[in-house]
Amino acid sequence: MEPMLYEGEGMPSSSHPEAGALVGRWVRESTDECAERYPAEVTFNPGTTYLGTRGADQGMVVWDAGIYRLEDDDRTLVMSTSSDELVSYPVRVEDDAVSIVDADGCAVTYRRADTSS
Amino acid sequence: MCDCGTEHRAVPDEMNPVVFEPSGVPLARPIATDAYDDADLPAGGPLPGPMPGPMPGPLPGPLPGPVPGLPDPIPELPTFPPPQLPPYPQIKLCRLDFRDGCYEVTIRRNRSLWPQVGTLRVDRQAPDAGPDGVIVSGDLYHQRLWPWPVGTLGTVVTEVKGTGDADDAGDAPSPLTSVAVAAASRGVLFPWWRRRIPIFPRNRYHSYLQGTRLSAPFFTIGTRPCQVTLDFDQFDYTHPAAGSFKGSFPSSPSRSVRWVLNRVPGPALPWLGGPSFEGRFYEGGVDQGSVHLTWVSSFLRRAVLEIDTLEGAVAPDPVPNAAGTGNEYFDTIFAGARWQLSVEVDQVDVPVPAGVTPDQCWSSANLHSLMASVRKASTNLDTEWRTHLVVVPARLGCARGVMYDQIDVPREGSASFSDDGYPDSDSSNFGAAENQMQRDVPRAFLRSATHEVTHAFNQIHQESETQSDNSIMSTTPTVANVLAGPFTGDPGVFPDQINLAFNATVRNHLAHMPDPVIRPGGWPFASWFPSGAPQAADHHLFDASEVTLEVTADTDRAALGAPVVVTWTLTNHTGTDLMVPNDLRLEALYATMSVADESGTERPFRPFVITCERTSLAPLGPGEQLSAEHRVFWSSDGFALERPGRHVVTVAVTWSAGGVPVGAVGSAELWVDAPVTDGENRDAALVLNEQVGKWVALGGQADHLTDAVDRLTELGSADKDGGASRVSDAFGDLMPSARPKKSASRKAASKKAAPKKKSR
Repeated sequence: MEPMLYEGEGMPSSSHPEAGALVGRWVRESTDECAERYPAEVTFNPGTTYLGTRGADQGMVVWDAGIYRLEDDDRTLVMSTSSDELVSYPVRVEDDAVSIVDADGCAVTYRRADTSS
Repeated sequence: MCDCGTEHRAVPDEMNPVVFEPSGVPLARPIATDAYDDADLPAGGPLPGPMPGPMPGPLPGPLPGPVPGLPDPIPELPTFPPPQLPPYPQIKLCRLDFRDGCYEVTIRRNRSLWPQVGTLRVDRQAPDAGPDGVIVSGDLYHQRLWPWPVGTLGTVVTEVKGTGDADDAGDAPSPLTSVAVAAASRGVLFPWWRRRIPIFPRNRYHSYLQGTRLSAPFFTIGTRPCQVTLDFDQFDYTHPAAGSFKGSFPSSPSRSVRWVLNRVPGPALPWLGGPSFEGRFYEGGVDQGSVHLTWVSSFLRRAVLEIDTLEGAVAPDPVPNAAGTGNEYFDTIFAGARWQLSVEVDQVDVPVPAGVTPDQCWSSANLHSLMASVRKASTNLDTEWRTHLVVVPARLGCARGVMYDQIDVPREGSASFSDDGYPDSDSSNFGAAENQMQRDVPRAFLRSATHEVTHAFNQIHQESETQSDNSIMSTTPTVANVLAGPFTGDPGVFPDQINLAFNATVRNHLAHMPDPVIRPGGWPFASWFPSGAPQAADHHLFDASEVTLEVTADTDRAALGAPVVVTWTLTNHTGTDLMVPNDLRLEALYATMSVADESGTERPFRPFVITCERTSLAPLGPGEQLSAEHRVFWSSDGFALERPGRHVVTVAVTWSAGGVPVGAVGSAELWVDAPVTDGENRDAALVLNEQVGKWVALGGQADHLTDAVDRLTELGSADKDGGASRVSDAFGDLMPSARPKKSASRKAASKKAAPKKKSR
């Protein structure tokens, strides 16, 4: 998948994201150096907000807190970053894994954390 | 919440004569702020008591006429010489007036041709500055007399919209400030210019000054002079390589210096500056040169916000304050951080750039290009801290704004989207603003625009740095959710109760971070986080040989759903008294707790109740201990131990020692077992409930929490299937029908508390 940065003009029409496809807590599985810019854990809330949680030794992460949505029939993940910039990522969503590729070609995979009450 | 930390007790130097030497961290030293200390007393000891009344004179002379039997003349009674009182020491009022605000600094090293110049910030209004309530920081630059600074003359202001500021040194620009400082140790070459906070070129930055001690006595005794004494840790700056923007500071100070200053006559005219001070600076007790300070502003920093608005968009306007006494706007918000922010509302109806659809989401590249085309052509980031805000329409779903400038020169500008807004998908707590455009919700619009401008001054989301709160640097949905959640912050309504202010962390960053980190065109966004830049008022940890904080849990293996009592003990290992908080309970706010689970996720654990009215610093003697404990179960951030597995409970106790934040940290590990029986499973499900959480946080017997009463009654029922479990055992003294012991959260801190079972 080619990484894709967001462009204002020509923005794809937003599709209604599948409710709950990403909702929940996810733990980063990727350990490549380029993936260290992404939080150790990310929680997608019902609705459109998310919260990233840094690992103990992590510095600033790209996804810290903001909004998210799935577009293009869940093939594109749009996230607001630490500077509130909207960035689009090609995404693959499976039951217990979500993978993105960023503009630098870094592939990052998250696995769904244990669900709890 | 009470205004904790304002009770102050002067700390004579002799109570803490030891200078701590924690490895890798700056020194924490006691100070005597605005008071004399015992060292000021004359050698003869304390002042004498009240003088006695006049001594009686000699007896009257002989009685008239002889008196039988009496000798003649009657011998005089002995007289005593008047008492030899010690000379009464002279008490002298100092009237130093080392006031708050920004000082212009000139340093001339011995045998050096070129001075250093810069700014010194004295901040007695900083939150979290401890009982003595002062933070001091500064920045120094190399100064050359040639070439003359250019581009600062005749700044043209198109329109200034704001609420007015109170800069005592006036509003007119002082473009030759840096030259005046270099050319004259006192006075001003060009008396028609008003003195302002000076701005220096980025490539001449030299070092950051982190204040560690301030003494500015109200009076002295005897021959001791009235002097201001300032101690700093100085961090020399390494400039970035050509083409990059992030330099570096060392992790430990390059040196420690002391300034000893005398008040000297200031500028003759009030708009030329306030009190002036002159003196010497020392390293290791050795004279290194002269220092001159002149007060120039009651603000700590100054900057310019230029706003340009695209056609079809609307820029944020001032909004009424909550009291109805005035307006709030960008300048008043930044005044909360003691910034003088001049707002220039420049162009409106800027034409839409070719090829851009203005009512869609904008790319960072297009916003940057727009900024470059409309910003003042004379912008020079080496002579002013100018940030740019472009307002464009966009639409709902574009995140309301962005700090787009991570292109080339960092953080030149940001953008706000007037036709974006508050979709209900972002939060169900937007209230009257739900699905409205920003232009129609002025208070929320001003908040989010200020949020982006503050990103441009290199501040980050508080969800990531501290916690979600109702402050400028939390995201908009977070603010709405905090307002709506009765236990996650100040309850209120979005947008009316939006707090147009920075929290203490961001406020102190803006006031005291080094210039290169903050200023436009300096360090790249967030590159300072989490460490990498010194800042006055960072907490300095004691070395283990000096102070320890031991943290233990009453068990090292807890059942899922069982509360755990965590105890922490502060011990003074030094040979002298240390001023430490007299109450280490979480409720007293000197201690904080966090819990990390196996995945490394760390969450704060906050007390449900705040009781800090009686907290203060008090001496802890050599070898003495102070303890506190808390039942860890639930807080406003959720359940602390809600998953099986390894957990680490960390407690930090932090306070201000003479203006220098210090602290100690300790942690304990414990294991949470997964339920192994149906009974444990059932009981965990019963108690992992928010109402039960509040019941425990309140220490039990909160009978208004009826669901909690029902659940705990069932928990304690002898007839339930599976019988008792470790969970029900752990709730023994919290059951609704039991007479509880004094709960852990209400126990006062006690010295030498009985040690708890140590954790693994």
